[in-house]
Amino acid sequence: MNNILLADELSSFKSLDIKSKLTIDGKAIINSINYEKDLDLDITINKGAILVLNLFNKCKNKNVDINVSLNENSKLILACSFITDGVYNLNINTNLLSNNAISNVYVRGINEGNNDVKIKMDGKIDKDSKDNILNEYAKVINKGTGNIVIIPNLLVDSCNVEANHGAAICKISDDDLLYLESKGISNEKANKLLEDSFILSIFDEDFKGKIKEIL
Amino acid sequence: MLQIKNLTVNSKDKKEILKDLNLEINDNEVHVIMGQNGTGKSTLCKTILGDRINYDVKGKIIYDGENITDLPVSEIAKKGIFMLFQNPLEIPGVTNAEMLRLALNERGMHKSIFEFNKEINEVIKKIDLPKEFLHRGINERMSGGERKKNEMLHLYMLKPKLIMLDELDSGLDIDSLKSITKTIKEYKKENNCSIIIITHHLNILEGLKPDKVHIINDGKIAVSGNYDLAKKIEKEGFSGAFNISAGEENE
Repeated sequence: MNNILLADELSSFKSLDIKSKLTIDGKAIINSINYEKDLDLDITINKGAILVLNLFNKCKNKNVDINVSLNENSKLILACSFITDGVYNLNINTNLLSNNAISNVYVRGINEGNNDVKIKMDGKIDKDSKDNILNEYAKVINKGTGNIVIIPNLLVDSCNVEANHGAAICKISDDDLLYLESKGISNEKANKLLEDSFILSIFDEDFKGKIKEIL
Repeated sequence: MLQIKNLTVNSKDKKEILKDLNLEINDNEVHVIMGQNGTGKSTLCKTILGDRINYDVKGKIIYDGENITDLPVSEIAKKGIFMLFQNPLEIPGVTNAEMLRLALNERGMHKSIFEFNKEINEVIKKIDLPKEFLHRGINERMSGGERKKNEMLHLYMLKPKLIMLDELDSGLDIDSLKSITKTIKEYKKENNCSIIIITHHLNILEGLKPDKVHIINDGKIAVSGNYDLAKKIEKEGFSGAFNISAGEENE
């Protein structure tokens, strides 16, 4: 198991094992594109630290477990996108242990196959904490016949908190398709354009550019 | 340019919207379609555009001598038909530049990045569009007026021959409407295109003088006439339009 202290930026996961433990001090940005293995991350964000964790996977079968503990005045921005034609399991647990921490979790996925996708997001806020913000949103497009399950849990034990969650399972909008086709773009390419934008929508411009190269 | 023959259109829930409608539009003509709410004006345009997700269609739509009734929307657009929707959609994440480059490629008009940038920059200068709109999602975070101006960018880049304007004045203030109308008028002058205008009001027609005005009623073109017909409707309402001398009753 690795225990890595991140002071600046870490650009890839290549140095990590499947099961890794990270401690974040200062500001860290972790970008991962198509990490090949399953992933089991245990992350602690220390007091005042910020972690931006961007994950993108185009894969068949995958299990991703991410556990993040946030200390006082810390911040997490976790953006996770995937395109899968296999079984995909994503578990994200965020624990806000102290005061004035912010956790924003965004998930976008496309299920291309006939297998099942399960997304579970547990956001926990401790009893004696205050002034925390917890957001978790997941949206999946189902193109196949598999089951999609999204469970966005808010497990809040404090009354001084802002907590929001959302889940959506949808398809590409017919109106959006008609609009793009009315500009002369074929149905197939209009779909691709909309799917790519859906998958990329939760990332910053730099990371978008890197993913676009492989989509 | 466009001939519509015996067009009958039903919604997917089998409601008849247009019944045996006929219309002919020649090169470089401006036609206005008026009618009360729910009479099928927008449906007519969407049917010409090729929307078969929402409508079942019988009859023929001939464009430049070719039957386009059963063509996909994208193929119809590539032939030079463009619709400016009443409320242009917002598509965050798909930028104007990205969409237009793809749309031009789909037309076989492959341009280098340099050529594309040069052309699009000339257009945004011409229509006075903020440059940052190019790399913004389509109509993303834009007001009603900005969206329609943004559509003018698409118009100039895609260079259609038949433009359909669905309630252009909807959501526009007077200045914005004048500006958009001026742009369309200039485009028409430069490109000799035909225009179908759907409107309830005359304010848009002052910039784009129509050759013909048609009133849709009960799923058909009930009356056709000249600009005076539109003026009469504005003054007296649709009930008066069926008994006016400016119009030639079709039935």
